[in-house]
Amino acid sequence: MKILIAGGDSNADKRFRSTAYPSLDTSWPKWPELLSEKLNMRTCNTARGGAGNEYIFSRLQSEIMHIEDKSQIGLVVAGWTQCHRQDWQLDSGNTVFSWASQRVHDHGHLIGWMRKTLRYQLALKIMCDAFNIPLIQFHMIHPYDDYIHGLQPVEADLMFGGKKLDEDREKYPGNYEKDMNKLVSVILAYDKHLGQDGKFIGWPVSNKWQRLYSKVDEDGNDLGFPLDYHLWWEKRLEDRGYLEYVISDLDVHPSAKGQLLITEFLHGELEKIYGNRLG
Amino acid sequence: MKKLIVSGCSWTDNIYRSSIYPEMDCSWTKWPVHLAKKLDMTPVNLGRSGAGNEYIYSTLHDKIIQTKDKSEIGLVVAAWTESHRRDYQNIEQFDSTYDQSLRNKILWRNTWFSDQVDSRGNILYFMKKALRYQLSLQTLCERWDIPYVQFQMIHPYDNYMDGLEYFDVENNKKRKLDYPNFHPEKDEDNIVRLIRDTWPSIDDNKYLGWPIIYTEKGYSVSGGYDLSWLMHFGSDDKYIIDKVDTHPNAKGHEWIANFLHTEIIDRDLI
Repeated sequence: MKILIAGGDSNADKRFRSTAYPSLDTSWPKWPELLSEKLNMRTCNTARGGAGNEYIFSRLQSEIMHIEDKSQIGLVVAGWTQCHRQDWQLDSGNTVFSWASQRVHDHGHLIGWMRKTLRYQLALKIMCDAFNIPLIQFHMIHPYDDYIHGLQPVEADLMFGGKKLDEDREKYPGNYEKDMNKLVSVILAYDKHLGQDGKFIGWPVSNKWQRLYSKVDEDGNDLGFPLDYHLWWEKRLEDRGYLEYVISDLDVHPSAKGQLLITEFLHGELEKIYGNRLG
Repeated sequence: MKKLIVSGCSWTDNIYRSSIYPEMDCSWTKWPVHLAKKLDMTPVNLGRSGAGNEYIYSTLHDKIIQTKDKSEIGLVVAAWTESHRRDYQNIEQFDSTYDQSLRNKILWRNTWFSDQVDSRGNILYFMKKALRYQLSLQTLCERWDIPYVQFQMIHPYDNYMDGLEYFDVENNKKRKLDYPNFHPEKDEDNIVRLIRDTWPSIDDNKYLGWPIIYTEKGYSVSGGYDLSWLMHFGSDDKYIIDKVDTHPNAKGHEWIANFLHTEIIDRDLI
Protein backbone atom coordinates (compact mmCIF):
# COMPACT_ATOMS: atom_id res chain seq x y z
CA MET A 1 0.00 0.00 0.00
CA LYS A 2 1.45 3.38 -1.02
CA ILE A 3 1.78 6.30 1.36
CA LEU A 4 -0.12 9.59 1.24
CA ILE A 5 1.96 12.27 2.97
CA ALA A 6 -0.15 15.24 4.04
CA GLY A 7 0.93 18.56 5.54
CA GLY A 8 -1.13 21.35 7.01
CA ASP A 9 -2.33 23.26 10.06
CA SER A 10 -5.28 22.75 12.43
CA ASN A 11 -7.64 22.19 9.49
CA ALA A 12 -5.88 18.87 8.80
CA ASP A 13 -4.60 18.00 12.30
CA LYS A 14 -5.91 14.59 13.35
CA ARG A 15 -5.50 15.62 17.01
CA PHE A 16 -7.38 18.92 16.52
CA ARG A 17 -9.08 20.30 19.63
CA SER A 18 -11.30 23.36 19.58
CA THR A 19 -10.00 26.19 21.78
CA ALA A 20 -13.47 27.76 21.78
CA TYR A 21 -15.14 24.50 22.89
CA PRO A 22 -12.45 22.57 24.82
CA SER A 23 -14.82 19.78 25.83
CA LEU A 24 -16.15 19.22 22.31
CA ASP A 25 -15.39 15.79 20.88
CA THR A 26 -13.53 16.64 17.68
CA SER A 27 -12.32 13.17 16.88
CA TRP A 28 -14.08 13.01 13.51
CA PRO A 29 -11.84 11.87 10.65
CA LYS A 30 -9.85 14.61 8.96
CA TRP A 31 -9.33 14.97 5.22
CA PRO A 32 -5.85 13.34 5.07
CA GLU A 33 -7.22 10.12 6.54
CA LEU A 34 -10.44 10.30 4.49
CA LEU A 35 -8.55 10.95 1.25
CA SER A 36 -6.09 8.11 1.91
CA GLU A 37 -9.00 5.75 2.40
CA LYS A 38 -10.52 6.81 -0.92
CA LEU A 39 -7.20 6.33 -2.68
CA ASN A 40 -6.41 3.09 -0.87
CA MET A 41 -3.24 4.53 0.61
CA ARG A 42 -1.65 4.59 4.04
CA THR A 43 -1.70 8.01 5.74
CA CYS A 44 1.26 9.95 7.02
CA ASN A 45 -0.47 13.04 8.38
CA THR A 46 2.09 15.62 9.57
CA ALA A 47 -0.44 18.44 10.14
CA ARG A 48 -0.35 20.36 13.40
CA GLY A 49 -2.69 22.98 14.92
CA GLY A 50 -1.21 26.49 14.86
CA ALA A 51 1.55 25.51 12.47
CA GLY A 52 2.98 27.84 9.88
CA ASN A 53 4.40 27.16 6.45
CA GLU A 54 7.96 26.49 7.61
CA TYR A 55 6.59 23.63 9.69
CA ILE A 56 4.49 22.32 6.81
CA PHE A 57 7.42 22.32 4.39
CA SER A 58 9.98 20.98 6.86
CA ARG A 59 7.89 18.02 7.94
CA LEU A 60 7.00 17.13 4.34
CA GLN A 61 10.64 17.39 3.23
CA SER A 62 11.75 15.29 6.16
CA GLU A 63 9.19 12.55 5.49
CA ILE A 64 9.96 12.46 1.77
CA MET A 65 13.73 12.31 2.28
CA HIS A 66 13.48 9.57 4.88
CA ILE A 67 11.60 7.18 2.62
CA GLU A 68 14.40 5.50 0.73
CA ASP A 69 12.24 3.99 -2.00
CA LYS A 70 10.40 7.06 -3.27
CA SER A 71 8.08 4.94 -5.41
CA GLN A 72 6.41 4.00 -2.12
CA ILE A 73 5.04 7.54 -1.92
CA GLY A 74 1.68 7.60 -3.68
CA LEU A 75 0.87 11.27 -3.16
CA VAL A 76 2.01 14.39 -1.32
CA VAL A 77 -0.65 16.94 -0.35
CA ALA A 78 0.24 20.33 1.13
CA GLY A 79 -2.55 22.42 2.66
CA TRP A 80 -0.69 25.70 3.21
CA THR A 81 -1.68 28.24 5.82
CA GLN A 82 -1.23 31.91 6.77
CA CYS A 83 2.22 33.22 5.87
CA HIS A 84 2.57 35.34 9.02
CA ARG A 85 2.89 32.36 11.37
CA GLN A 86 6.30 31.54 12.79
CA ASP A 87 7.64 28.05 13.57
CA TRP A 88 10.71 26.77 15.35
CA GLN A 89 11.97 23.60 17.02
CA LEU A 90 12.99 22.99 20.62
CA ASP A 91 13.61 19.28 20.75
CA SER A 92 16.06 16.93 19.12
CA GLY A 93 13.53 14.88 17.15
CA ASN A 94 11.57 15.93 14.12
CA THR A 95 8.15 14.87 15.26
CA VAL A 96 5.09 17.05 15.66
CA PHE A 97 5.98 17.55 19.34
CA SER A 98 9.43 19.02 18.71
CA TRP A 99 7.85 22.09 17.11
CA ALA A 100 6.51 25.33 18.49
CA SER A 101 4.61 28.08 16.65
CA GLN A 102 3.24 31.55 17.17
CA ARG A 103 0.60 33.52 15.34
CA VAL A 104 2.84 36.29 13.99
CA HIS A 105 6.58 36.32 13.25
CA ASP A 106 8.77 38.23 15.71
CA HIS A 107 10.51 40.00 12.86
CA GLY A 108 9.97 41.06 9.28
CA HIS A 109 7.10 42.19 7.13
CA LEU A 110 4.13 40.59 5.41
CA ILE A 111 5.70 40.78 1.95
CA GLY A 112 8.85 39.03 3.20
CA TRP A 113 6.74 36.31 4.86
CA MET A 114 4.81 35.78 1.61
CA ARG A 115 8.07 35.47 -0.32
CA LYS A 116 9.26 32.88 2.19
CA THR A 117 6.04 30.87 1.75
CA LEU A 118 6.39 30.94 -2.05
CA ARG A 119 9.98 29.68 -1.79
CA TYR A 120 8.74 26.73 0.29
CA GLN A 121 5.98 26.00 -2.19
CA LEU A 122 8.37 25.96 -5.12
CA ALA A 123 10.95 23.94 -3.19
CA LEU A 124 8.29 21.32 -2.45
CA LYS A 125 7.20 21.17 -6.08
CA ILE A 126 10.77 20.82 -7.34
CA MET A 127 11.50 18.09 -4.79
CA CYS A 128 8.40 16.10 -5.78
CA ASP A 129 9.11 16.57 -9.50
CA ALA A 130 12.70 15.41 -8.97
CA PHE A 131 11.54 12.14 -7.38
CA ASN A 132 8.55 11.74 -9.67
CA ILE A 133 6.14 11.96 -6.73
CA PRO A 134 2.53 13.04 -7.44
CA LEU A 135 1.75 16.31 -5.66
CA ILE A 136 -1.11 18.70 -5.11
CA GLN A 137 -0.90 21.85 -3.07
CA PHE A 138 -3.38 24.54 -2.11
CA HIS A 139 -3.96 27.20 0.52
CA MET A 140 -6.37 25.79 3.07
CA ILE A 141 -6.78 29.34 4.38
CA HIS A 142 -5.72 32.60 2.78
CA PRO A 143 -2.00 33.42 3.21
CA TYR A 144 -2.34 37.10 4.10
CA ASP A 145 -5.96 38.28 3.96
CA ASP A 146 -6.60 38.07 7.71
CA TYR A 147 -3.38 39.89 8.50
CA ILE A 148 -3.72 42.69 5.99
CA HIS A 149 -7.31 43.39 7.03
CA GLY A 150 -6.29 43.41 10.71
CA LEU A 151 -6.02 40.19 12.69
CA GLN A 152 -9.19 39.19 14.49
CA PRO A 153 -9.15 37.84 18.06
CA VAL A 154 -8.57 34.07 18.26
CA GLU A 155 -11.42 31.68 19.11
CA ALA A 156 -10.61 31.42 22.82
CA ASP A 157 -10.49 35.22 23.19
CA LEU A 158 -13.90 35.50 21.56
CA MET A 159 -15.42 32.76 23.66
CA PHE A 160 -13.80 33.41 27.03
CA GLY A 161 -12.04 36.78 26.79
CA GLY A 162 -15.05 38.91 25.92
CA LYS A 163 -13.49 40.17 22.70
CA LYS A 164 -15.54 41.11 19.65
CA LEU A 165 -14.76 39.85 16.16
CA ASP A 166 -14.59 43.18 14.37
CA GLU A 167 -14.24 45.73 17.16
CA ASP A 168 -11.11 44.06 18.53
CA ARG A 169 -9.32 43.62 15.24
CA GLU A 170 -5.68 44.60 15.27
CA LYS A 171 -4.56 47.37 12.96
CA TYR A 172 -2.47 46.40 9.93
CA PRO A 173 0.96 47.95 10.54
CA GLY A 174 1.81 48.57 6.87
CA ASN A 175 0.51 50.49 3.88
CA TYR A 176 -2.61 48.55 2.87
CA GLU A 177 -2.97 49.80 -0.70
CA LYS A 178 0.69 49.61 -1.61
CA ASP A 179 1.31 46.25 0.07
CA MET A 180 -1.78 44.68 -1.47
CA ASN A 181 -0.51 45.51 -4.96
CA LYS A 182 2.99 44.33 -4.08
CA LEU A 183 1.68 41.00 -2.75
CA VAL A 184 -0.11 40.32 -6.01
CA SER A 185 3.03 41.00 -8.04
CA VAL A 186 5.16 38.87 -5.68
CA ILE A 187 2.73 35.94 -6.10
CA LEU A 188 2.33 36.34 -9.85
CA ALA A 189 6.11 36.26 -10.26
CA TYR A 190 5.80 32.55 -9.42
CA ASP A 191 3.02 31.92 -11.93
CA LYS A 192 5.36 30.26 -14.43
CA HIS A 193 6.66 27.87 -11.78
CA LEU A 194 3.60 27.12 -9.65
CA GLY A 195 0.59 28.03 -11.73
CA GLN A 196 1.03 26.28 -15.04
CA ASP A 197 0.56 22.56 -14.40
CA GLY A 198 -2.74 22.80 -12.47
CA LYS A 199 -1.27 21.06 -9.42
CA PHE A 200 -1.64 24.15 -7.24
CA ILE A 201 -5.38 24.22 -6.67
CA GLY A 202 -6.74 27.76 -6.38
CA TRP A 203 -3.59 29.35 -7.77
CA PRO A 204 -2.91 32.27 -7.58
CA VAL A 205 -4.24 33.09 -4.11
CA SER A 206 -4.43 36.85 -4.28
CA ASN A 207 -7.08 39.51 -3.94
CA LYS A 208 -5.80 42.65 -5.51
CA TRP A 209 -9.14 44.28 -5.96
CA GLN A 210 -9.96 44.47 -2.28
CA ARG A 211 -13.04 42.32 -2.48
CA LEU A 212 -12.61 39.52 -0.03
CA TYR A 213 -11.09 36.55 -1.86
CA SER A 214 -12.27 37.83 -5.22
CA LYS A 215 -11.73 35.21 -7.85
CA VAL A 216 -11.93 37.36 -10.95
CA ASP A 217 -10.24 40.67 -11.58
CA GLU A 218 -11.56 43.58 -13.64
CA ASP A 219 -10.34 41.92 -16.85
CA GLY A 220 -11.89 38.60 -15.96
CA ASN A 221 -8.59 36.93 -15.00
CA ASP A 222 -8.82 34.21 -12.41
CA LEU A 223 -7.31 35.31 -9.13
CA GLY A 224 -7.53 32.00 -7.36
CA PHE A 225 -8.88 31.03 -3.96
CA PRO A 226 -8.12 29.42 -0.64
CA LEU A 227 -10.00 26.17 -0.12
CA ASP A 228 -12.17 27.26 2.83
CA TYR A 229 -13.49 30.18 0.81
CA HIS A 230 -14.09 28.12 -2.29
CA LEU A 231 -15.90 25.32 -0.48
CA TRP A 232 -18.21 27.15 1.90
CA TRP A 233 -17.70 30.87 2.47
CA GLU A 234 -18.15 31.96 -1.12
CA LYS A 235 -21.41 30.16 -1.87
CA ARG A 236 -22.97 29.93 1.52
CA LEU A 237 -22.25 33.21 3.28
CA GLU A 238 -25.58 34.97 2.83
CA ASP A 239 -27.92 32.18 3.90
CA ARG A 240 -25.45 31.11 6.61
CA GLY A 241 -25.27 27.71 4.89
CA TYR A 242 -21.58 27.59 5.76
CA LEU A 243 -22.56 26.61 9.32
CA GLU A 244 -23.13 23.12 8.03
CA TYR A 245 -19.43 22.76 7.28
CA VAL A 246 -17.76 24.55 10.19
CA ILE A 247 -18.00 24.03 13.95
CA SER A 248 -19.72 27.36 14.58
CA ASP A 249 -19.47 31.11 13.98
CA LEU A 250 -16.92 31.25 16.78
CA ASP A 251 -14.83 28.31 15.64
CA VAL A 252 -14.71 28.11 11.87
CA HIS A 253 -12.60 24.96 11.64
CA PRO A 254 -14.22 22.32 9.44
CA SER A 255 -16.77 20.08 11.10
CA ALA A 256 -17.09 16.39 10.24
CA LYS A 257 -19.18 17.42 7.22
CA GLY A 258 -16.62 20.06 6.26
CA GLN A 259 -13.84 17.47 6.31
CA LEU A 260 -15.92 15.26 4.00
CA LEU A 261 -16.50 18.17 1.63
CA ILE A 262 -12.75 18.92 1.47
CA THR A 263 -12.06 15.26 0.77
CA GLU A 264 -14.64 15.03 -2.04
CA PHE A 265 -13.30 18.20 -3.63
CA LEU A 266 -9.65 17.11 -3.47
CA HIS A 267 -10.54 13.69 -4.80
CA GLY A 268 -12.30 15.28 -7.75
CA GLU A 269 -9.34 17.55 -8.46
CA LEU A 270 -6.94 14.60 -8.24
CA GLU A 271 -8.99 12.72 -10.82
CA LYS A 272 -8.79 15.71 -13.16
CA ILE A 273 -5.02 16.00 -12.71
CA TYR A 274 -3.90 12.38 -12.46
CA GLY A 275 -6.86 10.32 -13.74
CA ASN A 276 -6.28 6.72 -12.66
CA ARG A 277 -2.53 7.10 -12.31
CA LEU A 278 -2.53 7.31 -8.51
CA GLY A 279 -2.16 4.37 -6.20
CA MET B 1 29.82 35.22 -20.78
CA LYS B 2 28.05 32.99 -18.23
CA LYS B 3 27.20 34.11 -14.73
CA LEU B 4 28.86 33.00 -11.52
CA ILE B 5 26.13 33.48 -8.89
CA VAL B 6 27.47 33.56 -5.35
CA SER B 7 25.94 34.19 -1.93
CA GLY B 8 27.41 34.19 1.54
CA CYS B 9 28.14 36.27 4.62
CA SER B 10 30.85 38.85 5.40
CA TRP B 11 33.53 36.52 4.06
CA THR B 12 31.94 36.97 0.63
CA ASP B 13 30.49 40.50 0.87
CA ASN B 14 31.75 42.71 -1.95
CA ILE B 15 31.44 45.82 0.23
CA TYR B 16 32.74 44.30 3.46
CA ARG B 17 33.66 46.80 6.19
CA SER B 18 35.50 45.76 9.35
CA SER B 19 33.41 46.43 12.44
CA ILE B 20 36.55 46.35 14.54
CA TYR B 21 38.46 48.78 12.32
CA PRO B 22 35.73 50.97 10.80
CA GLU B 23 38.26 53.30 9.17
CA MET B 24 40.13 50.50 7.40
CA ASP B 25 40.00 50.42 3.61
CA CYS B 26 38.71 46.92 2.87
CA SER B 27 38.09 47.48 -0.81
CA TRP B 28 40.38 44.66 -1.90
CA THR B 29 39.08 42.25 -4.50
CA LYS B 30 36.92 39.53 -2.95
CA TRP B 31 37.05 35.84 -3.84
CA PRO B 32 33.96 35.79 -6.13
CA VAL B 33 35.67 38.25 -8.51
CA HIS B 34 38.93 36.24 -8.50
CA LEU B 35 37.03 33.01 -9.06
CA ALA B 36 34.90 34.47 -11.86
CA LYS B 37 38.06 35.60 -13.62
CA LYS B 38 39.57 32.14 -13.38
CA LEU B 39 36.36 30.58 -14.73
CA ASP B 40 35.83 33.25 -17.37
CA MET B 41 32.45 34.19 -15.96
CA THR B 42 30.67 37.36 -14.84
CA PRO B 43 30.38 37.53 -11.03
CA VAL B 44 26.98 38.14 -9.41
CA ASN B 45 27.87 38.52 -5.76
CA LEU B 46 24.91 38.46 -3.36
CA GLY B 47 27.06 38.08 -0.21
CA ARG B 48 26.14 40.32 2.70
CA SER B 49 27.83 40.90 6.05
CA GLY B 50 26.00 39.41 9.02
CA ALA B 51 23.79 37.27 6.81
CA GLY B 52 22.62 33.82 7.85
CA ASN B 53 21.73 30.76 5.83
CA GLU B 54 18.13 31.78 5.13
CA TYR B 55 19.48 34.88 3.39
CA ILE B 56 22.01 32.81 1.43
CA TYR B 57 19.42 30.29 0.26
CA SER B 58 16.75 32.89 -0.47
CA THR B 59 18.98 35.20 -2.51
CA LEU B 60 20.32 32.30 -4.59
CA HIS B 61 16.80 30.91 -5.04
CA ASP B 62 15.43 34.29 -6.13
CA LYS B 63 18.31 34.96 -8.52
CA ILE B 64 17.96 31.53 -10.14
CA ILE B 65 14.19 31.92 -10.49
CA GLN B 66 14.55 35.43 -11.93
CA THR B 67 17.07 34.27 -14.56
CA LYS B 68 14.84 33.48 -17.51
CA ASP B 69 17.43 31.58 -19.55
CA LYS B 70 18.97 29.20 -17.01
CA SER B 71 21.76 28.28 -19.45
CA GLU B 72 23.17 31.75 -18.75
CA ILE B 73 24.14 30.50 -15.28
CA GLY B 74 27.63 29.01 -15.38
CA LEU B 75 27.91 28.12 -11.69
CA VAL B 76 26.09 28.72 -8.41
CA VAL B 77 28.21 28.90 -5.25
CA ALA B 78 26.72 28.82 -1.75
CA ALA B 79 29.19 29.81 0.96
CA TRP B 80 27.15 28.80 4.02
CA THR B 81 27.67 30.42 7.39
CA GLU B 82 26.87 29.95 11.08
CA SER B 83 23.53 28.22 11.54
CA HIS B 84 22.41 30.27 14.55
CA ARG B 85 21.94 33.55 12.68
CA ARG B 86 18.44 34.81 11.91
CA ASP B 87 17.42 36.57 8.68
CA TYR B 88 14.19 38.25 7.74
CA GLN B 89 12.88 40.59 5.10
CA ASN B 90 11.37 43.87 6.04
CA ILE B 91 9.39 46.39 4.08
CA GLU B 92 11.11 47.71 0.99
CA GLN B 93 12.15 51.13 2.16
CA PHE B 94 14.00 53.37 -0.17
CA ASP B 95 14.85 57.00 0.11
CA SER B 96 13.45 58.57 -3.04
CA THR B 97 16.08 61.31 -2.90
CA TYR B 98 18.75 58.67 -3.45
CA ASP B 99 20.42 58.24 -6.82
CA GLN B 100 17.76 56.34 -8.81
CA SER B 101 20.34 54.57 -10.96
CA LEU B 102 21.51 52.74 -7.83
CA ARG B 103 17.96 52.00 -6.70
CA ASN B 104 17.64 48.40 -7.84
CA LYS B 105 21.17 47.54 -6.80
CA ILE B 106 20.58 48.73 -3.28
CA LEU B 107 16.94 47.72 -2.87
CA TRP B 108 17.46 44.00 -2.30
CA ARG B 109 20.15 44.65 0.29
CA ASN B 110 17.92 47.03 2.17
CA THR B 111 15.03 44.59 2.51
CA TRP B 112 17.10 42.04 4.43
CA PHE B 113 17.99 42.18 8.11
CA SER B 114 19.95 39.73 10.24
CA ASP B 115 20.50 39.01 13.92
CA GLN B 116 23.56 37.26 15.28
CA VAL B 117 21.45 34.67 17.12
CA ASP B 118 17.93 33.46 16.43
CA SER B 119 15.98 33.93 19.65
CA ARG B 120 13.64 31.05 18.80
CA GLY B 121 14.75 27.43 18.86
CA ASN B 122 17.98 25.68 19.78
CA ILE B 123 21.19 24.63 18.01
CA LEU B 124 19.60 21.43 16.71
CA TYR B 125 16.82 23.39 15.08
CA PHE B 126 19.31 25.84 13.60
CA MET B 127 21.28 22.94 12.10
CA LYS B 128 18.16 21.21 10.79
CA LYS B 129 17.06 24.44 9.14
CA ALA B 130 20.50 24.91 7.58
CA LEU B 131 20.54 21.36 6.21
CA ARG B 132 17.02 21.80 4.81
CA TYR B 133 18.18 24.88 2.90
CA GLN B 134 21.26 23.05 1.62
CA LEU B 135 19.14 20.15 0.42
CA SER B 136 16.64 22.53 -1.19
CA LEU B 137 19.41 24.38 -3.03
CA GLN B 138 20.76 21.06 -4.32
CA THR B 139 17.32 20.07 -5.65
CA LEU B 140 16.73 23.52 -7.14
CA CYS B 141 20.01 23.45 -9.11
CA GLU B 142 19.49 19.86 -10.22
CA ARG B 143 16.01 20.79 -11.47
CA TRP B 144 17.52 23.05 -14.15
CA ASP B 145 20.86 21.23 -14.55
CA ILE B 146 22.68 24.23 -13.14
CA PRO B 147 26.27 23.53 -12.06
CA TYR B 148 26.67 24.31 -8.37
CA VAL B 149 28.97 23.88 -5.44
CA GLN B 150 28.30 24.42 -1.76
CA PHE B 151 30.48 24.53 1.33
CA GLN B 152 30.58 25.93 4.84
CA MET B 153 32.61 29.10 4.72
CA ILE B 154 32.29 29.33 8.50
CA HIS B 155 31.60 26.29 10.67
CA PRO B 156 27.84 26.01 11.32
CA TYR B 157 27.89 25.28 15.06
CA ASP B 158 31.45 25.35 16.48
CA ASN B 159 31.48 29.01 17.49
CA TYR B 160 28.04 28.78 19.06
CA MET B 161 28.91 25.69 21.09
CA ASP B 162 32.29 27.05 22.15
CA GLY B 163 30.60 30.22 23.38
CA LEU B 164 30.06 33.08 20.97
CA GLU B 165 32.75 35.73 20.96
CA TYR B 166 31.99 39.41 21.02
CA PHE B 167 34.25 42.42 21.10
CA ASP B 168 34.06 44.43 24.29
CA VAL B 169 34.76 47.90 22.93
CA GLU B 170 35.04 49.52 26.39
CA ASN B 171 37.77 47.17 27.55
CA ASN B 172 39.19 46.63 24.08
CA LYS B 173 39.16 42.85 24.23
CA LYS B 174 37.26 39.80 23.05
CA ARG B 175 34.84 38.11 25.43
CA LYS B 176 32.82 34.90 25.28
CA LEU B 177 29.17 34.15 25.97
CA ASP B 178 28.25 30.89 27.70
CA TYR B 179 26.68 28.12 25.64
CA PRO B 180 22.98 28.34 26.53
CA ASN B 181 22.42 24.70 27.36
CA PHE B 182 23.51 22.36 30.13
CA HIS B 183 24.49 19.46 27.90
CA PRO B 184 26.73 20.59 25.04
CA GLU B 185 28.19 17.08 24.56
CA LYS B 186 24.72 15.60 24.15
CA ASP B 187 23.76 18.35 21.72
CA GLU B 188 26.90 17.80 19.68
CA ASP B 189 26.19 14.06 19.52
CA ASN B 190 22.70 14.85 18.26
CA ILE B 191 24.09 17.20 15.61
CA VAL B 192 26.52 14.53 14.41
CA ARG B 193 23.63 12.06 14.24
CA LEU B 194 21.58 14.60 12.31
CA ILE B 195 24.34 15.19 9.76
CA ARG B 196 24.87 11.44 9.33
CA ASP B 197 21.15 11.07 8.86
CA THR B 198 21.16 13.70 6.09
CA TRP B 199 24.25 12.23 4.40
CA PRO B 200 22.47 9.88 1.96
CA SER B 201 20.49 12.80 0.53
CA ILE B 202 23.46 15.13 -0.02
CA ASP B 203 25.56 15.04 -3.19
CA ASP B 204 28.91 15.09 -1.39
CA ASN B 205 30.92 15.62 -4.57
CA LYS B 206 29.29 19.05 -4.83
CA TYR B 207 29.59 19.82 -1.13
CA LEU B 208 33.19 20.71 -0.29
CA GLY B 209 34.03 19.70 3.25
CA TRP B 210 31.02 17.42 3.68
CA PRO B 211 30.16 16.01 6.22
CA ILE B 212 31.38 19.13 8.07
CA ILE B 213 32.25 17.06 11.18
CA TYR B 214 36.03 17.17 11.82
CA THR B 215 36.25 13.56 13.02
CA GLU B 216 34.87 12.41 9.65
CA LYS B 217 37.31 14.60 7.68
CA GLY B 218 34.71 17.29 7.13
CA TYR B 219 35.66 20.93 7.30
CA SER B 220 34.63 24.52 6.86
CA VAL B 221 36.83 26.70 4.69
CA SER B 222 37.52 29.15 7.50
CA GLY B 223 38.41 26.29 9.82
CA GLY B 224 40.81 24.55 7.44
CA TYR B 225 40.72 20.80 7.07
CA ASP B 226 41.02 20.01 10.72
CA LEU B 227 42.72 23.06 12.21
CA SER B 228 41.71 26.58 13.01
CA TRP B 229 41.98 29.31 10.41
CA LEU B 230 44.97 30.82 12.23
CA MET B 231 46.82 27.51 12.49
CA HIS B 232 45.99 26.56 8.94
CA PHE B 233 47.29 29.79 7.52
CA GLY B 234 50.09 30.30 10.00
CA SER B 235 50.09 32.78 12.81
CA ASP B 236 51.73 35.57 10.86
CA ASP B 237 48.39 37.05 9.85
CA LYS B 238 49.29 36.46 6.23
CA TYR B 239 45.76 35.72 5.07
CA ILE B 240 43.62 37.49 7.65
CA ILE B 241 43.19 41.10 8.73
CA ASP B 242 44.68 40.28 12.15
CA LYS B 243 44.04 38.11 15.21
CA VAL B 244 41.16 40.32 16.33
CA ASP B 245 39.39 40.62 12.98
CA THR B 246 39.97 37.23 11.38
CA HIS B 247 38.16 38.02 8.13
CA PRO B 248 40.26 37.31 5.04
CA ASN B 249 42.47 40.11 3.78
CA ALA B 250 43.38 40.61 0.12
CA LYS B 251 45.67 37.55 0.14
CA GLY B 252 43.10 35.50 2.02
CA HIS B 253 40.51 36.16 -0.69
CA GLU B 254 42.98 35.08 -3.35
CA TRP B 255 43.65 31.90 -1.35
CA ILE B 256 39.93 31.10 -1.11
CA ALA B 257 39.46 31.63 -4.86
CA ASN B 258 42.44 29.36 -5.64
CA PHE B 259 41.17 26.71 -3.27
CA LEU B 260 37.68 26.77 -4.79
CA HIS B 261 39.00 26.79 -8.34
CA THR B 262 41.19 23.74 -7.69
CA GLU B 263 38.30 21.84 -6.10
CA ILE B 264 35.85 22.80 -8.86
CA ILE B 265 38.24 21.56 -11.54
CA ASP B 266 39.35 18.42 -9.65
CA ARG B 267 35.77 17.43 -8.95
CA ASP B 268 34.69 18.19 -12.51
CA LEU B 269 31.87 20.48 -11.34
CA ILE B 270 31.52 22.60 -14.48
